[in-house]
Amino acid sequence: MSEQATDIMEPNAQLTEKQMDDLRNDEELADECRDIFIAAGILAQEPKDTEQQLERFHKRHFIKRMRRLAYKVTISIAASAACIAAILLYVSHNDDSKSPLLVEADADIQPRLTDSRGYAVPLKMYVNSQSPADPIVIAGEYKNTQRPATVFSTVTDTVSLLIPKGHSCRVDLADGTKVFLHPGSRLNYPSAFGGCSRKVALEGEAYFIVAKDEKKPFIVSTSRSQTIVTGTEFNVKSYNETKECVTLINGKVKFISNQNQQNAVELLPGQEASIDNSGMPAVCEADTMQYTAWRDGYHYFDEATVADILRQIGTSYNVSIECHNRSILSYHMHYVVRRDIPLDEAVRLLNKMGKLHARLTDDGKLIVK
Amino acid sequence: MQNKETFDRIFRQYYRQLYVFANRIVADDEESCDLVHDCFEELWIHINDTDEQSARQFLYTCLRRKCIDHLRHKEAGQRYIMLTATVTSKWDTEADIEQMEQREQQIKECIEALKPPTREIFTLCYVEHKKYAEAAELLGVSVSTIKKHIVRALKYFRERRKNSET
Repeated sequence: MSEQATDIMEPNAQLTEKQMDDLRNDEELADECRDIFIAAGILAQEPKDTEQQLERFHKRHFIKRMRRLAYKVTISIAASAACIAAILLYVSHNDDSKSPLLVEADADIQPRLTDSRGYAVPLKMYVNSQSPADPIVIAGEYKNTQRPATVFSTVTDTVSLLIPKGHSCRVDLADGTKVFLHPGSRLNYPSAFGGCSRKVALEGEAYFIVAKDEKKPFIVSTSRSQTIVTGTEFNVKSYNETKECVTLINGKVKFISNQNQQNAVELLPGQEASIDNSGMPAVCEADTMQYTAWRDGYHYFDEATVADILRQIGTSYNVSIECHNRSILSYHMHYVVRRDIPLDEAVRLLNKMGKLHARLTDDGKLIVK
Repeated sequence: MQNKETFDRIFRQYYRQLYVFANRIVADDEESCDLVHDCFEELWIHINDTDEQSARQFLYTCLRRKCIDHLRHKEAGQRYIMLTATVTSKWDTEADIEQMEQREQQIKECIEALKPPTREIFTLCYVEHKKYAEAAELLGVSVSTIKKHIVRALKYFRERRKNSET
């Protein structure tokens, strides 16, 4: 019977109808399977910070309650409610009330690598002396110091790399292409490029330096577009909340909107492709400095709004940001810093401009006045 | 205020074990995190008519239902879903959950007594989801050796269970 339980509980096992019947009828067999389930739970070293999770839970509720409150204010019902509404409106105009969160930090998760079935694969990140903010991930590598080294069972296994907020990295693909991933992005890539094209999938944002191969076009696929190149440098921005945006730094690219596949556009260096409301590709001139600066390890903001700068800081360091003075959010500022500096240093440099005052609280929030 | 204190106490006590429970079923850190948070949200909504004693059962039944729904949504095999439902069926009633907590303590002691190779095999297969053939290749042994270790451990667990029942 233990042999039976062992067979049934094998990961990804093809279960038979007979095994199902036995399981339903034999309580002892079910108990043995349960023992494996329980044992797995005990052996799994899941690093979870309960206090942090509790905080996160209440934060979500606080925001939900604040939103409901704001809604009540704009409706304005009975006399007493109208009174409270008036007071709340007055208070919020004076910016003395609890200020809305500008950026909310995510739960702290580490970058992780999963295989095509969704199971975790060991991830090794190497120090990058040229750009310390972007540790290097080498595609097609499977190294585990505790067990003998082995390779993926299929040579061109596709993996999915998640880079959460607070992290960034550089992925070196099998063909020599380098991909600089932004915080809050995911890249799916194979361990080696077979076939007649080199295909990767991206959610979020990345800067690509593609190795030249005229015979094998390199294709970046997002949920909304395809970008095809042979050897070149370009930036892809594909977040759900903003417009799709592909900017060419040098070389040549062909850009295809998934909604409108017949009208591919070819970009020249310095141009940017986006998708308009009707799904058609549109081309315009772009400032490439911010993208090449990222590649070189810098945050580059030239006359950008304080709101945009703060949002980038929030994402790069995975920190929540509250703003007590809404008017400064539309100020324009010049802010160029290395990406590998610690958060308090980034805050100090932000304050140096004299246009705002940001302060880090003990519980890791940034308060801006 | 009193409700928040009660809720926080319940959260602190059960969060981790619920997360582990969910992750064993759905094998996805982020998803497990979300599923557990969803259950606590439902608890929060009902915190006025929940007494602390029945909170654990409420959370487990809620989580179990959500995890199985997630498997269906992800189109996991019918039989795998059935297997999951059967294995986790003992986290439904208060009495059963209590029994499972005791069982967990027993198995914990057994695991501590297991030799490292056996523990390694369990971790590879049931935590990292390696098939027996993969685990065998990684460790440089045969599949039958892998299974032998597992079967022996299961017999040890069963013995321990029988002894405590007498």
